[in-house]
Amino acid sequence: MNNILLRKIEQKIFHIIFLISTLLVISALLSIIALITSKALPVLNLEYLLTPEINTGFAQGCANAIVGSIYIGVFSVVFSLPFAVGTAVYLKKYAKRNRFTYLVELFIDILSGTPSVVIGMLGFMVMAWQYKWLFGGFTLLAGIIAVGTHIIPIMTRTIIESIKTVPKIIEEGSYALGASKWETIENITLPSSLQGILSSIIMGLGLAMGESAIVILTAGYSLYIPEIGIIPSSKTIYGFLVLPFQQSVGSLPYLIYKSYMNPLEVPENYAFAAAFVLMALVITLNIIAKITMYQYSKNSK
Amino acid sequence: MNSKYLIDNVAGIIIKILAGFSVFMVFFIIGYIFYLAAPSFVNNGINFIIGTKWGNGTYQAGVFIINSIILCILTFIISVPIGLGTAIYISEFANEKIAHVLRFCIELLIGIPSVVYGLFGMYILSKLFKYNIDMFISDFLGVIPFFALSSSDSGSHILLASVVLSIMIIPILIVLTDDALKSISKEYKEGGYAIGATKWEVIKKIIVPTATPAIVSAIILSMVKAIGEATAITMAMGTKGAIVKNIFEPGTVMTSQILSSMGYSFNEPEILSALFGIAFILMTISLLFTIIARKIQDRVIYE
Repeated sequence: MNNILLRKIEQKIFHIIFLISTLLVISALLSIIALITSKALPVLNLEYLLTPEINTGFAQGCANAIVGSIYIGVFSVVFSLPFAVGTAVYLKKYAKRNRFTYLVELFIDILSGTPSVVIGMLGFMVMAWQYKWLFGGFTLLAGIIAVGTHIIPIMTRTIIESIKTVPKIIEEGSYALGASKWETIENITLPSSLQGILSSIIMGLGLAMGESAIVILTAGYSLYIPEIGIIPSSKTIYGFLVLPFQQSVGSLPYLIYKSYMNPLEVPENYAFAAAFVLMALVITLNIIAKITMYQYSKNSK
Repeated sequence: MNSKYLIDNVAGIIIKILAGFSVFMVFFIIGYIFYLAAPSFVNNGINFIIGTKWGNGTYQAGVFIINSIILCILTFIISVPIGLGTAIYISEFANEKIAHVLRFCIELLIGIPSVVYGLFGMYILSKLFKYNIDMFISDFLGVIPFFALSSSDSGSHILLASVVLSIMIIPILIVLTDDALKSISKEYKEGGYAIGATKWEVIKKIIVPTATPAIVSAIILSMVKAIGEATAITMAMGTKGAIVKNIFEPGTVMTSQILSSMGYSFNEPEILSALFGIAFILMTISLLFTIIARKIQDRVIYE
């Protein structure tokens, strides 16, 4: 009897320890959200959200950063999606289980383990510096390519996972009816893994918008909302710039970083306001992702 | 009939090109880093890694490597117990509804960008440390010089950086560990209960040992993420270029040095080479640990 009591007490002790650690985590995360929100609220108004910094002064408006971040997020995903889908389809559908495919999977892992600063510094050296005459210096385009490369591995893995879940029976049925390989992929495999592709898109969006080190080193910063058009310029060898791609853009992470770097010029409320906007965007994306997943699992039942 | 197979062939070629891009990218990255980093290694030899001079023509990365290691160890100590404990609670002790809510909360917060945490650490946590926590810790552990508080304390030190980093990686650690624990087949657990073990004993002696490879892999992957973090650490710790002798000191880690120096030093080939040398070391570490984690994972699947 005594032994059982001791064992139960031991269990209770660890139960409490684990409960404490859980409460610690939850309260830390909740208080972060709460504190950021409370410090951001005093300056968070429509004017702050809709006016670019050029009109309001340093860090007192964030429209340029919001638009820039959206551009970076959307176009990075547009850039990386073909490569992610292509790599996933190749690995799961085309490649034989040989050493070459193992190498490709290894390389995806290497890419995913590359720290973002490293990708950023490479992007800077190659695109913003060496090929300045082609890109135009610190540009949105350089940022898109660099951030896009950074998010390819995660998207590839997610899409691979969802391709795996397509039942072989359906595909074999398609082949049995005489469809070619690509027809099967196009009409059966990809539509069935659409949910995974969708969630990889949303995940990539969130990651791209929150990426700081890469953007600092490749996309520069701008106080203006990016314009669209083509303007003549001596920065490139071919004499013109395609906007908004070949200009520097503002971004929320860089705005936050600059606000931190200049504490005397930027009251902390404005720094937290930018952080709040970024956080709200990312959490909203996560919620959308969860809702889409929930809807898909409901529909397939 | 012909056109269908023509499309098929073209599609196949396009897909192979797309897949080849990732391979090309990795080759390019590694090659470029190698090419630019080589001078540093050739000129300094092994001293590039263990030497600590940075300036006046000699650029060695020892300081940053050691600081990065110390930061990682501190982060490990803070994040692993809390992360594992929370994961065990969620997957074994909490009832269904609470577990569902907890998982939802934690997954929601995985994607929060690191700058946000850096800002939080810089403005809010540093004050907390400076006025409350630092003295508390120093009172208890100050016997050991590493934990002793000296005169000036700004609150932005390596302890703060490791706490911020821990907050960043704990959600991922929890989700991965939770997955690992969930994947233990029920028969194992029920076998344990059947012979009279308590819930904790089943966890201690059956679930955790079985899930250990997956848990270790989760920890390694989280730490790889931690090593690669640049912006938030730079915000939390600043860039003072000396080896950290004390948890209440600021210091520079590998990623911070790259981030802060890249902008104005890229013109000087020696510094540039040194920065790429640091990048090379970072990539090697990440690569090594990612491969180890994957190998452990592969073994789990085939068990």
